Amino acid sequence: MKSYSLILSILLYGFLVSSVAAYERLKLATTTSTANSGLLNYLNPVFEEKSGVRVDAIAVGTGKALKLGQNGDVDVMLVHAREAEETFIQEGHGVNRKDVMYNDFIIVGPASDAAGINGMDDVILALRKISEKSSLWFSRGDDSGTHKKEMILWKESAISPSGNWYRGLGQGMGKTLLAADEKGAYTLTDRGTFIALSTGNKIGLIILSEGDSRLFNPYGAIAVNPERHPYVKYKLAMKYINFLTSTEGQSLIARFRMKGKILFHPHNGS
Amino acid sequence: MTFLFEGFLEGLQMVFQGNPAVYNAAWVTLKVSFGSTLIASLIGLPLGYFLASSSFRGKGFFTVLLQTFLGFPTVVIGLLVYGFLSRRGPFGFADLLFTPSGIVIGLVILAFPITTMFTMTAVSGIDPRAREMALTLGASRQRTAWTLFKEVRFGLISALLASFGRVASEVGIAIMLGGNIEGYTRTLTTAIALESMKGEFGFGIALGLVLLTLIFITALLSRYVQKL
Amino acid sequence: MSRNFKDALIELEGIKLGFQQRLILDVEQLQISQGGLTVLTGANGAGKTSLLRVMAGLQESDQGKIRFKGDTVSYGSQGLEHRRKVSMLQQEPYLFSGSVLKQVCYGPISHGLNQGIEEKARQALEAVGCLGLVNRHTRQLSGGEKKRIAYACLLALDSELLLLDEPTAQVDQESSEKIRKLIQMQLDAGKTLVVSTHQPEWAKPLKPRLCMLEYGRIVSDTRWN
Repeated sequence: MKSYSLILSILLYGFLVSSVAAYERLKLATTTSTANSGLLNYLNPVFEEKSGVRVDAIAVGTGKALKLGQNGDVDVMLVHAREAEETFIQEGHGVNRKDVMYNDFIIVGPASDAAGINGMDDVILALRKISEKSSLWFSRGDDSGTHKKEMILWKESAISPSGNWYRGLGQGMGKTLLAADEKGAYTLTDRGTFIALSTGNKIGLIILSEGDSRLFNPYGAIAVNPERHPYVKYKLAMKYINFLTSTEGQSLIARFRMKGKILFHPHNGS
Repeated sequence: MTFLFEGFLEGLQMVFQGNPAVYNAAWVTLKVSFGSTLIASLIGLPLGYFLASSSFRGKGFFTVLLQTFLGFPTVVIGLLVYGFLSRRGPFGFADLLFTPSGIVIGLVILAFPITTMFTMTAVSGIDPRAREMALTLGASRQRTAWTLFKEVRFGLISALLASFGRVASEVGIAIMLGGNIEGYTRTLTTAIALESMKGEFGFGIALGLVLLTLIFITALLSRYVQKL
Repeated sequence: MSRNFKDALIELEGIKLGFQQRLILDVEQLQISQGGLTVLTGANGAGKTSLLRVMAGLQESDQGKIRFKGDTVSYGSQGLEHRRKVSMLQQEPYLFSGSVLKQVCYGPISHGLNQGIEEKARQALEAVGCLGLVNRHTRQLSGGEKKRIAYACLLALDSELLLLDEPTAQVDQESSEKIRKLIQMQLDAGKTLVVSTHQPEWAKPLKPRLCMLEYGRIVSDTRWN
């Protein structure tokens, strides 16, 4: 009997002690591609050092990231889906959106390039060709930033992609690239995930179309509206956003390299 | 075959070089697994004892309920707990989502049917004379329960080990409630899920090796206890 | 047969106990006086063990009342007080996993004693001739040894009423003798004992009260002189 009460007391004590948490924690929802790039592991420690706040980065698809913000389950978001972000702000879920940085999307595919799009600057023409030739195309199909971008591009090419050649995988970028590599398919990807996978010969896909300004991928940081969710850590969220857009934050972004390659471009020049 | 082999080698290297990401994940796994097993035992042992030694009206019903919990799909557990812990949910104020404590809550729901069932079985298997011996020698009900627990202590330890092994291997609940936050809620299992998604096979192997070792040790202990 | 209430240590009234469709016990009236030996006899299944268990507070009867020194005895958690006044020796005793010493100390510790427990335990073990087994693990005991250790548990407690269920069953002549001597010793010390046995011959020298049970009923109640 005595041992039982002892165990209970230890537990209770442990629980109380842990509730009086050591650090303040800020919950950041971001996309898997952002997290996988390693940028946050580069940026966040600097912020944590300065502010004494721990940043908990939860990596999910853009749709989910915004949903988390809508529900108040996170305090701040770093995403790249301009249209969805605008709607988010208009609907009053988020406030103080700031441009942070941009990277770009690229079309990758098998070296054999059956659709013959290699080197095409105009991404719309490239997509049209792929559609004409019914070349195998893998889509994210998961409401992510990449997927949203893909759908906007299809729309601009006046194509509603459907048929056997067009497959929505519902997987993250990494898995989609691996699958595309296996099956010799074309796909739209962010440069970061591609660099990560293609270095070290993990996959054999190559970049076929890049540089079109329509492939531009801007990142925005949004704080969750404290009026909607009084429990969110609004002040900390703003602190973080201000850090990202500060001279220090922006130069860190510029200096970040992934496998030796430039990945992100700070919004405020470098 | 070379792909597997290379990955395996890379993994071994990371384990023996003490790769911090691997060991951070291991630490989180240990924390949440120990915590949830402990709480599940504090619930399961008395509950299992009670169910085994009393006969009351609804006993059959509660047993069926327990069986249901035992077979509960983990994604459903994750989903339900998420709903409760989300800021929009009833316990949102507690800020438990995407924390190790949140994971522990989900894992406790997963584990307590295991500890309860094991205890119930162990206690049911106790010779009824044992209880009477304790009672007639003047032991109170609590002392009797404690004495009976000691008589089946090995069965109870097996309950703990089974529970530990189960929660340490859990992915779905850990991801849904923990958010896979590096260094905070990233467990061995969620890290594997993440790494395989990134195509980092060798790293995934490293994590897998550590996890397997943990499970192996658990199984060894269980066998050792049984033979005592 | 004394019907003097003042002497009765334990009284049973209207005790009925059933199992499925059968009536295991049907005892209208039974009074056990303080300081004597009552032997319950009858064929196997006659209800002897059940009667002892009811008296020990280990089994609740479906109907009826038990009084101990005039106070009504309740079952369940309130029965603890009663169980500390009455102890029973099981027919096939269950000993807890651990040392013999721990087992014999279990009772006194449960009763809340804090001093002289080990003393009491050793004395009890000596009385049953098992002092040498004091550090043996209970797993390693023979049937006969288990029985004696269980008896020592009761001795260490000093209960007012002792109930022994078939103490001489499967025990050789010599040990039977020893048990009879032990019982005599306790009677001399003023204890009250109720013993069940399906072969009461060994108890004859003790000149006990003899109650015969048949299908849960007391069919005869005499004194063996």
